[in-house]
Amino acid sequence: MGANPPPLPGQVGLRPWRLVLVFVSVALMMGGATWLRLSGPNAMPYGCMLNQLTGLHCPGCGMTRASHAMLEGRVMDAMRFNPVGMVLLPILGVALGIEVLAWVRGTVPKRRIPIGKHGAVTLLVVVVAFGVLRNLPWWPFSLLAPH
Amino acid sequence: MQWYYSNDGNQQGPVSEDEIKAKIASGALKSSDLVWKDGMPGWVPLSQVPELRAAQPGAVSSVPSVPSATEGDTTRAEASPYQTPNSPVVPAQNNFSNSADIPSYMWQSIAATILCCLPFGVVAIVYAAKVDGLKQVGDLAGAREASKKAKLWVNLSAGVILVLIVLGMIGNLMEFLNSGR
Repeated sequence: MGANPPPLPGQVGLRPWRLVLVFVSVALMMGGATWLRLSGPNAMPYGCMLNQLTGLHCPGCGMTRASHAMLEGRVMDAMRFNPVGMVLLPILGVALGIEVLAWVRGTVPKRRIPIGKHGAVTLLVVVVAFGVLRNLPWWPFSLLAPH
Repeated sequence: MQWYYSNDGNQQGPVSEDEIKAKIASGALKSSDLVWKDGMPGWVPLSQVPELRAAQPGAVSSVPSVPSATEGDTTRAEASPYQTPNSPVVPAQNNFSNSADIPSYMWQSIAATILCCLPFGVVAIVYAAKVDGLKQVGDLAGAREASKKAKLWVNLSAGVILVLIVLGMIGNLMEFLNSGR
């Protein structure tokens, strides 16, 4: 008698180093956001290498400008720069946040944002199609290009 | 014997065997809730513990089905679950805890695909999509294998994205310093 029960499945306990890693990452991201807010979206000397070499707009094109617009509270401008990113990335952020919180606690998330095989494929198709369509130079597709 | 039980993922107890049986009979504990006592290798769903099964509301209805049994028969019928060796319980317990612990890494795979590395990410998504299907079929070994592969490709993507970020920062920083001169 007197033995303590083993930890419940999915309850292993806090992982300090994971917590440190998350804090460092969040601090880096906040530092990056502050830098972006202060110096503007065009402060990067290179910008996007792919765009410079090919002139194409990839699905992520305009996200720096969109993030900067969001930091200044200009939601409509952000949507003009990258509408799909502005919708998708917050969802992705929440979904990954759930995973990271559980990871730090050494457990598995109790609830996730539900997405199955078909949901994942749909997201992929949307992103790839967006990347193709926004390079078409005619209306209405030209609205999808960062402008 | 003192019992521990879990309620919504929180450990409760210790309570006496009479107390836990009362809780089971009242419906406060479901058959899927985990229980443990000293000597057991790990937490086990209530439904797989023979000595507590008799207290479950569902099990009560099966008792009147043998009302004509003699006293000797009854004890033998009761004894058989008691005599069940630990071995069948242990794999069942392992299955239970592991099935919940096999992550599909689906959101991580999607993030890898969208944020960085489409080819790697798609491979990760393919494996991630397999995990839940294999779990439902009961192929836990296969699910664990697919989960590992999904994790591998997600980690590979994470490595690539880190390298790209660092390279981009170095390139931009050098350009920034050069233009300052």
